[in-house]
Amino acid sequence: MKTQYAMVIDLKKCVGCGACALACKTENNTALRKNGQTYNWADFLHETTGKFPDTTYKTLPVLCNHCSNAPCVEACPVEPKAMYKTPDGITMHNDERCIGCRACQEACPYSMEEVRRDGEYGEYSVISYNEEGEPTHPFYKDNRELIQGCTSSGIDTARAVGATPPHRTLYDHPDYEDVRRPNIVEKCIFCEHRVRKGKLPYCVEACPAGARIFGDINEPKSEVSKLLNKHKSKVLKPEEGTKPNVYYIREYGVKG
Amino acid sequence: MKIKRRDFLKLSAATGAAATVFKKPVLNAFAETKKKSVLGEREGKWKPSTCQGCTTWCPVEIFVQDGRAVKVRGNRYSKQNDGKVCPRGHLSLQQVYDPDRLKVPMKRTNPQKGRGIDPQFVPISWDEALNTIADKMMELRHAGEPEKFALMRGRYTYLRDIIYDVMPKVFGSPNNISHSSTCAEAEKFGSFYTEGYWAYRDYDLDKTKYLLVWGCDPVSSNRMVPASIKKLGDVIDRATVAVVDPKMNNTSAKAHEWLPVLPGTDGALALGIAHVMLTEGIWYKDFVGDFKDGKNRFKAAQEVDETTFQEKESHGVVKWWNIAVKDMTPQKAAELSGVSFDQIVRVAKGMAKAAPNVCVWMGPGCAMHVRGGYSAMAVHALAGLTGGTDNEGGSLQTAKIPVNKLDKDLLKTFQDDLAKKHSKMKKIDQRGYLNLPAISKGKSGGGVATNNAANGILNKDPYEIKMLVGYMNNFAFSCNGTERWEKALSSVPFIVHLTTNASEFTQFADIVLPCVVNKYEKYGFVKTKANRYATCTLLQPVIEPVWDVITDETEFPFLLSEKLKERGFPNLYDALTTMYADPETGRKAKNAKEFTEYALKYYTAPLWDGKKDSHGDKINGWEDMKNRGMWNSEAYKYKSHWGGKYKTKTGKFEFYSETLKKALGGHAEKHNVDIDKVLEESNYTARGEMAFVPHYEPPHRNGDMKKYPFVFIDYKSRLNREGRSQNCPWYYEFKHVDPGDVSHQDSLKINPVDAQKLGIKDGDKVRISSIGGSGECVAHLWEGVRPGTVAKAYGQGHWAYGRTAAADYAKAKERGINNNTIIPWDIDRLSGSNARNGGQAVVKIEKV
Amino acid sequence: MNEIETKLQQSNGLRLLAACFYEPDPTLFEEEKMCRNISAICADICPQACAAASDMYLALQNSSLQDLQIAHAELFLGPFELKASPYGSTYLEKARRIMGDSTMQVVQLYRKAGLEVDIKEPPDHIVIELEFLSYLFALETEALQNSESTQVAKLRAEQKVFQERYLLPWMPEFIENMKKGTENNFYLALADCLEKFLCQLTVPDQSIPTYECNGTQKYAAATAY
Repeated sequence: MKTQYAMVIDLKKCVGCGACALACKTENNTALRKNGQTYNWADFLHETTGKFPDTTYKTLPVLCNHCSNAPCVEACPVEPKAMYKTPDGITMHNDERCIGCRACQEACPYSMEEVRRDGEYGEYSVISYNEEGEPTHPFYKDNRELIQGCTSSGIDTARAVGATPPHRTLYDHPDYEDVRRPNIVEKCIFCEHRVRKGKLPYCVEACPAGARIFGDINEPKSEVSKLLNKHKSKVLKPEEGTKPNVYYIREYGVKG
Repeated sequence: MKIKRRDFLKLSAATGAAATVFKKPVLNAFAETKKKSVLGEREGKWKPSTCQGCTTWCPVEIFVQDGRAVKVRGNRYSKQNDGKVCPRGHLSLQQVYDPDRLKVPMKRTNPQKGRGIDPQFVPISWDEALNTIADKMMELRHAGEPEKFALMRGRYTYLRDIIYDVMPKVFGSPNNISHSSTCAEAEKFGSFYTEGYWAYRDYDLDKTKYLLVWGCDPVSSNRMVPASIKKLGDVIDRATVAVVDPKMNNTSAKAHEWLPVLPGTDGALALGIAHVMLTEGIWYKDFVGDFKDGKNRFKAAQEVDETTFQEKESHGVVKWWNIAVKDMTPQKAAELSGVSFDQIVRVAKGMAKAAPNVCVWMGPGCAMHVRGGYSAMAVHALAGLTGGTDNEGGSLQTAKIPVNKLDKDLLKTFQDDLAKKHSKMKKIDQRGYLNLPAISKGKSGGGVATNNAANGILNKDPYEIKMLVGYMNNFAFSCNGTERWEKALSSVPFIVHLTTNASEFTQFADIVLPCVVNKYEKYGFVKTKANRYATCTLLQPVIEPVWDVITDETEFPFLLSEKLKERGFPNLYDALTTMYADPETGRKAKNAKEFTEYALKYYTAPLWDGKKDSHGDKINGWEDMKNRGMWNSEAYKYKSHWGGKYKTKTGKFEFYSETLKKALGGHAEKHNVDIDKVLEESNYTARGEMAFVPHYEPPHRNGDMKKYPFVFIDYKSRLNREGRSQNCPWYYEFKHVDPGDVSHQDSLKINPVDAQKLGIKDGDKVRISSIGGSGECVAHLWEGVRPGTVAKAYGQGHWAYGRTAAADYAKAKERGINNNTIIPWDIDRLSGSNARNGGQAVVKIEKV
Repeated sequence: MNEIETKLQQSNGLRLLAACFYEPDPTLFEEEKMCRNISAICADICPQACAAASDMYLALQNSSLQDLQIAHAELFLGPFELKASPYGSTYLEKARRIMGDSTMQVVQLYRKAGLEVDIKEPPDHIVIELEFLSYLFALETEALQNSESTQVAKLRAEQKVFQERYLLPWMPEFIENMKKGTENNFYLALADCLEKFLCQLTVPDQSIPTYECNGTQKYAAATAY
């Protein structure tokens, strides 16, 4: 059977700390929020229910679901498609072919064209768009100095170390760049540049709780398969028929 | 640059036939990359250092590509974090590459000082900066008043000895003021006056059967954060987890029990739990002992005859019962603390059932109160009652880290008469005054009272401070009662600040020196512990510093000593070069860089020089030490202090603290008063024997609750790298990982019931005011806080520091409001701690 | 001229123009008939540049090696202020600085094409960038010959990115600087020839505006991502 990469998130182990999402930003050099785009390939939803003191609070880590039936791929109008499924079941994005039409963003039930708020209000977006004609990292293009001649500036810092962003992690991949250019969309690609080298997606590697488990769901001996056999699992918006490959097992809190 | 291949100038010909093999053009400026598929991470190296974003002090590794720091993970050798870091680890990349870092020394050109007054900083050379500082120091010595120099320390490594001890002492000042009491001293008071341990405890999460977390959020902040994150899921599966916190936190969200205690009533709740354990006869008898005849005489409100009880590892349990516990029935505790009777009983019984593998995790929330000392003792006493102290699955002390110490005798040989005499004068924080016992480790005035230094400076008592050097500190932001610090700092004629950013403290400085960002650019070492392992971990420059900066703790004193030597005062230079000669070669340092490495080698040598068994990792020499970056001890041995080996007066775990009795007695004697007077002056209500046992003190609230009807809850964001990560944009983007918080705003959590009464809707701008100060933030309606209380995470509210941290740096306009402005100035006088918890601040909330 | 031949000539032309920016070596240039070849290529695909190419030929005949060396050094080498800095980043990064951000990005493009810089110059030097574009055209020629349409599309996309973001945006100012910075006829003619030659190139995919001879640095912002 062919490979289908998937992620299982063990909510019992997850403590909602944020390390996965931040680690992703350092690995993939994603931009800061602007123009209603978060560029958070990994993010979180939160839910508070009940009345004090019988309050329940939960965190749900979210990312691209790498759907088997991906509406973003369906919607991509270019040929060959910029958004496509790899043989391993990753929903891949090819930067070169992308024309920035954002049809994928519109089609994806886990994306928003404009994110005004955050996970506390149930908002996030898997797919983000880089505005045409705007730098990806304007923070490090800014030449303002707080104290003239004494403090640095964004562009000064980028120049001093020779990269934008200065902490840019350099990697190569035939489909995508380590920093995406303007007028294309971007999203989580399961760190294929790592996976194809036998490493784990960086959010999985970085999760201090061991709550993110990655592997081939079609391989019965894989950890993800075993976990899904052992526990009941959920996916996001099953009613959309997207067949997500990100699964959630167990409850966040003891009290459900 | 020449054309090296003649064929480069030859034309490629069109063949016209598709079958012809295409000849690739000749290259001149290029070569073809060696054949490998272009995929994967570019070359780089993981280099070890240490993260000091919180007090966990994680051994880390940093991935460096092309000389740039690009990623962070835990040190692969660490037995604490298993190669993982918490979110802070990643966040720090935006600190080292902060666009507002200072890149050159600067001086103030506006003599006027005060918040909102532009210092008019201009860049100066290192020489000018150091000359000015040296001249000012020499003035003090010439005037015979070196004590008027003060050194203030913020975040430090253990190379602090050099700037913090050697420099002031050789110069002749007693004033080295640390920030320690901002963090934890009242918490340490709790463990010291019960089990004789003045330090953070370690926690054995792998073996615990009942985890009681009190006044902190281990998966977010406080101690061993990555280890807690890793283990909590398993602990929940295996054991019971109960969390005492006045507001919902990350651990309580996942736990079996959340005990939302009313701020400041922790002592009552702890005694209530103790009451249940004692009256039910379910205390851990192998530790505490039992009635000689086995019949339980602990009955509510009834005194017990001490002679009927035989104790084992503890001391004074019956006395404690008689003095403080017998009347604190669970009903009364429930009434005082707002935690239900049922829950108190359930938790007490659950703990007893799990004994002795009970882990009482006592955090600052139950200790850093105006009257927090006894509250911390009361909580920690539960570790005694359940036998979870120093035991498997409980709270632990530490394994030894055999590093070298500062050679104090050698230091003295570099002090001249002026230095000897003046460095023994009273300190500016007034520790040891009658109303400020600060009885750290049993000694009157033994501990620091950071926040009280503001009073000492303002009142010129015991004398005026004419010159202040601060490093990696920001007391005008990090100490509650910021207004007092602003005034105090405005009154000091000459201030030097060593810092990475132009912080609030910097705004009062005359000379500002740009410094290294510790995790990435600094040499140092720290000692820490977690999971039964003690660790020594190095800070190392994994990249070349981004700017022309110096290392605060070593290079600054060295460079300054050269300047002082030029001015006829060679003592500091001689002290530094002699005390910190290279331990391998005996060579004296010739420059600041060499000095830094020699000093680090001096301290850490026993870990790597192979001379003695370090009882931990075997490390082969200095290069090996630098490559690994850390050393682990052997696992800590359980019950190391059982059998009468606690460092208390009795050698036992003291429910009746003979240790505290002696300490308070010593302080009273020094001032020629009785202990009751000491407690009265220290703002405590206990009198008589009550002073020597863990007990309930009614919370002290600063402000009239009629005018300020809400109790304010302060806590730490899991993204706080102390007060230093607020210039990082990621901090705001992911602020919602703090429960009840919203990204890109300073959220005041208010219960919907209260909000409705005030006509406040979610997302409304509100003004929060106390007797200490006032400011604007955004209301978030949330069921995670009790009606009558409001909660806000510490961190935001900077009016300086940088473009992201402040709303407008140039206009000193804050972004959100600093909790330390809302929390009025106050301290716990017994421990010297800043008092920021326990609901000392009461506030009013108005819609803007 | 069919499509394949045009591409090939464009590739050849760019390579020879790149050669002109190395240290002048009139003997080598003469032996390899460089100027004549440039003229021939221009006649084929870029008639506008023919005059400039002839001027180059004449100027090379009439200049001494020393004149050429002096002019070359003043324009591109220093030690004093460079009259026409040959580094893209000088123009693309606002504060004039070598090894800026755009430099990092061109290196990535080279790497993607399977190349690494093999001379001791920063990767955004004019000779390197011109040679790179020449190389991409050569590869396209090959792909066209083999009727590999996917490869052709991929190469055109690469050409487009490289031309629009890295090469063309700084050419007008660089060429202008050359014209202002020297009186040597060879380099004046070279500037003219390069300008016309670049004008003649088409950037693949017309949906985005192409390079304009007198245009300002309208693509400068795009280099900044």
